[in-house]
Amino acid sequence: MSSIFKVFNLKKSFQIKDKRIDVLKGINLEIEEGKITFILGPSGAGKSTLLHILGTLDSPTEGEVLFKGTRLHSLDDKSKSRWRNENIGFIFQSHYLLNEFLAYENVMLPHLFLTKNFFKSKKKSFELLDSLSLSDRVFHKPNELSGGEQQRVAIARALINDPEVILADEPTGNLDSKNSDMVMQIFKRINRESGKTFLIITHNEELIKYGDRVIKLVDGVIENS
Amino acid sequence: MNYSFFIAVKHLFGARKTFFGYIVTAISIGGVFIGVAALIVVLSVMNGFQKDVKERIVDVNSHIIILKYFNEPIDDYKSIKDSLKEFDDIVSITPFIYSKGLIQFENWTNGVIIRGFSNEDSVTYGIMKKHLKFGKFPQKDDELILGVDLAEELRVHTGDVVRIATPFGSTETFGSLIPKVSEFTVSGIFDAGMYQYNAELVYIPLRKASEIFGLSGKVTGLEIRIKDIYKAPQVAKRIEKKLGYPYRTNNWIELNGSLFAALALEKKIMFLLLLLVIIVAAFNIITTLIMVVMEKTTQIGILKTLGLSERDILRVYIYQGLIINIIGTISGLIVGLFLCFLLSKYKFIDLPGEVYLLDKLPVDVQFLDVIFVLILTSIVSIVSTLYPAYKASKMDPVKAIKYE
Repeated sequence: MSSIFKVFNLKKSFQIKDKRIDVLKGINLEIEEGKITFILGPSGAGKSTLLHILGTLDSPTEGEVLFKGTRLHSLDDKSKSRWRNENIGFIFQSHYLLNEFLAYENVMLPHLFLTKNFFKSKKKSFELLDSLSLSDRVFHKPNELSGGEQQRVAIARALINDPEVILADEPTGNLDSKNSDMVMQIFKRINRESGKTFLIITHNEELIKYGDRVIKLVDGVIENS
Repeated sequence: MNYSFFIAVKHLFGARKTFFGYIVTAISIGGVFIGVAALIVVLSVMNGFQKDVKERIVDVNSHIIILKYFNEPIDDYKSIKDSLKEFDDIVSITPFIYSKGLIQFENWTNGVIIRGFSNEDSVTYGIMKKHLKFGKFPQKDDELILGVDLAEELRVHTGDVVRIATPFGSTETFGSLIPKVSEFTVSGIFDAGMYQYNAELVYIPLRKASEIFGLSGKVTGLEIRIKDIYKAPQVAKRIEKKLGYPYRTNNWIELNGSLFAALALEKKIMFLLLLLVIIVAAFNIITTLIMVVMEKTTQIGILKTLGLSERDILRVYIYQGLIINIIGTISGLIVGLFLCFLLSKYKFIDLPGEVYLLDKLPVDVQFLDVIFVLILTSIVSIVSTLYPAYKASKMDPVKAIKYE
């Protein structure tokens, strides 16, 4: 199996007033294509920062990230945005749905950005919501949905452009165990059916049973994998 | 549908965190609305004022006047009339007598401008007939018509006999002039629509004027009306060239140049003052958009994770400014034009004629002014969106999504 992400000597520091905080301290990593990989670690270990850098939401202070051979952080803003839109589906701990948009509108947005076709995007978002058993929720606003439903809408939004990678930052952090299991089952099913790569951040060790690989990140360095 | 526009509409009119958000949006739309409506109404009233004053001036005064140097009387005006036959622009040529005198009725006196005109002069006759408010036109030599304000000052009515004293043609006694006094019956009272004319002008028959001013058949000058009043300076120049010395011409534009320059300046100043309303509206737009950017920090971050570029975000906020501008401008335009219509149709405001020359508010909506207001408002609105839009586009998505 080939690596979809290759990370070389990745460092990230933040400057707060005159104090420099090193969050990632030289990470070397390969993420295999088509696998579910968990990044496990205590809070403050740099998990989210790593995920943001892999998703080009943040830039490294030093080091390189390759996505199928492309040096991501040498791309300009427009290319990075386009790359994110086509290749990455983000899922966060908080559902981060847009409150002024209906459920189906939230789902269709990435597809609308890509195709600029409102009706096509609408149709696809309906199909996806249906596949996630949310067909009766398409015209609801996010605040009218339960926590589990909100997260499923967020999953639908992450999947609509059929991205190669799903980057999930504590996707079950706000859910009870029943909904957490349901979300992980969905991930597993998608991974099995479409071969998408999942990179999931969690501090919940119970979830790692759903993964193919676990990377432990402690204090900005990888402990073992 | 353009996705940036779709998001812009949702951000502006979708669910807001506070009701205050809606009020701020309404205020910015209202700001543009008031600015545009006020500009359109005020500019149209200024145009109307200018047009009305112009029309009244050229109505009573003619377009071009032929005089002799040193205001010598003209005796061969018929030959002048003949020599100007080749001018296609000329509608009418009329001899007139113009001088000053004193008018008296019982204990009331006033200085007046006396104009002698011919009853055969159909153009002047037509115009004065239009303005005649009471009575009729002079039928006999000892009848006159005068302006309403003058009539009011003298307390005269039609049928009253007034006396006019002129310094000309009188006998010299002991080295001083004795004014010549003639009696006239007031046959009519006119309202020319301009206080200056209504308070000063007296029309008497040409023959009588010639007699009391001792002109013995001569006239002061010739009044010319032309097809295109705005060509008056050029036509006047050609006439002057044709007639040569000792004739000279005046035209209405030249005679009232300072008045029109003042009106034009006034319009410019009003425009600049009202531009301030638009600038305040622009600040409202900036405030609204900054509020939206602050409210939507997380959303901007999410949109970036979904693949919107900085340029797309910039566009979202420029669209929001444009939406505010378009709604404000269109509603301002409609209400402004409607107000202009109402002002032209109904007399809402009574203007004191002594102060404003005119007694009601005239309106003239000029297409170019409206277009100019629309373009200017749009430019100001677009410029006002740039800073908030730029700030939103440069928002760090990581910080934005951590913000919540």
